[in-house]
Amino acid sequence: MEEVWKDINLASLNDHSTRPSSSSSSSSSAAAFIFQDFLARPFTINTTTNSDPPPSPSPSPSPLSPAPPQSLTALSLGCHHRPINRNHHHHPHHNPFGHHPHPAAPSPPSTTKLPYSSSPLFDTLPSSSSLPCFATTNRFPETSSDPAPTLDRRNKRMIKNRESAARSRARKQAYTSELQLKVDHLLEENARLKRQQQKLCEAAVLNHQQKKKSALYRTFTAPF
Amino acid sequence: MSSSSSRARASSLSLGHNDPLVLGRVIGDVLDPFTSSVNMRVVYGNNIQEVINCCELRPSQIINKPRVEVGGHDLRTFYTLIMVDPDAPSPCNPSEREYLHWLVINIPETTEANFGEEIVPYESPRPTAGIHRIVFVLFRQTGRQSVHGPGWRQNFNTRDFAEFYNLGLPVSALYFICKR
Repeated sequence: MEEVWKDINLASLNDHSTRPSSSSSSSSSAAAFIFQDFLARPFTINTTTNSDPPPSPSPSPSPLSPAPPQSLTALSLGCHHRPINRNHHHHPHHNPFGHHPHPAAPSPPSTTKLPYSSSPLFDTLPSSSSLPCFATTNRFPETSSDPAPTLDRRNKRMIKNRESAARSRARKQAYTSELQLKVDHLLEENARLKRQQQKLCEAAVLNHQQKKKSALYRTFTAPF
Repeated sequence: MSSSSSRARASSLSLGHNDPLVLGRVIGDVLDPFTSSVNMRVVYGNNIQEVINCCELRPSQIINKPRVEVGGHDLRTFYTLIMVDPDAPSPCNPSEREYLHWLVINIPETTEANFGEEIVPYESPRPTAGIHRIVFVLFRQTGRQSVHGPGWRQNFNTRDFAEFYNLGLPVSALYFICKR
């Protein structure tokens, strides 16, 4: 299988202007776009890495095992989106794994395959300000093919939608919580007022009874 | 729990994770965590619509300034009221956070905002996009104060303002939501 991958890589190297559909190894089109992008960028520099035998996948996380050579390039590209990669290619093969720092993304596999797939992370973030640093779509500014802007827009919309959904959930929770507090308070007040009213009622009844005893009565005595 | 609508007793309750102000991210986006110590009651529409946290009001209901009652007992204590929109111009892009709608100072305890000094006049919120939170914050002043209002309403910062005028942490806060 690795030979198949090598062949595909070489094919893409020879024909870097077109996008071989065979290189889109993953099923989803978004992932395919990312892989195409990975392949497209340093096709000239990666001859050394691609022609070398792939390293043992032990330094890399296991989900990358289906495509080690591609993941090599993917990792070395995806994590840096700067041309520092080019300096690494003279080093022995295993170095790109050691050199490139893992970004603060959730896990390396997701950075290679789908930068925007860290959805569980987004769901919990209600504020919009913290998201853009994860969700930046400017990783591959050079690609100007048709799929790129549409997917960028779609991704942006998806992120915005997630943020908005998170805000909506937060609002719902906040309102429910407020209503519960209000209900508790009002029940308490109601009970207190009822007790107060009861006392006043009793006091009024007593008062009335006392007044009846000391009320004025007509008598027949007169001064004259 | 930060209680700030009409409660019979002045409550000194601290915030829990269930507090509406925390859940609605008002604590965080606008304010730091605080303990409510004064009752504040905000009523729109001539005593018709009392504001509770996260209730929804339509723009037509909030055209005129509300009545803001400050609880307590001591007429010699003064308060500052700030009303801001942290979601201007839209919640997904709050570039104007916070938009200052109203700023009143020197409100005596037990009275209403009418009795204070209006530094920035009331401007009715009119959201164009999204669902906005509109926050009322009450600060206790150390004494009667003189304050210079900002020259513009956009990008007001309640925290900085409170620090600059030595207002400390809020003593009460309340918010509602509004959309077009």
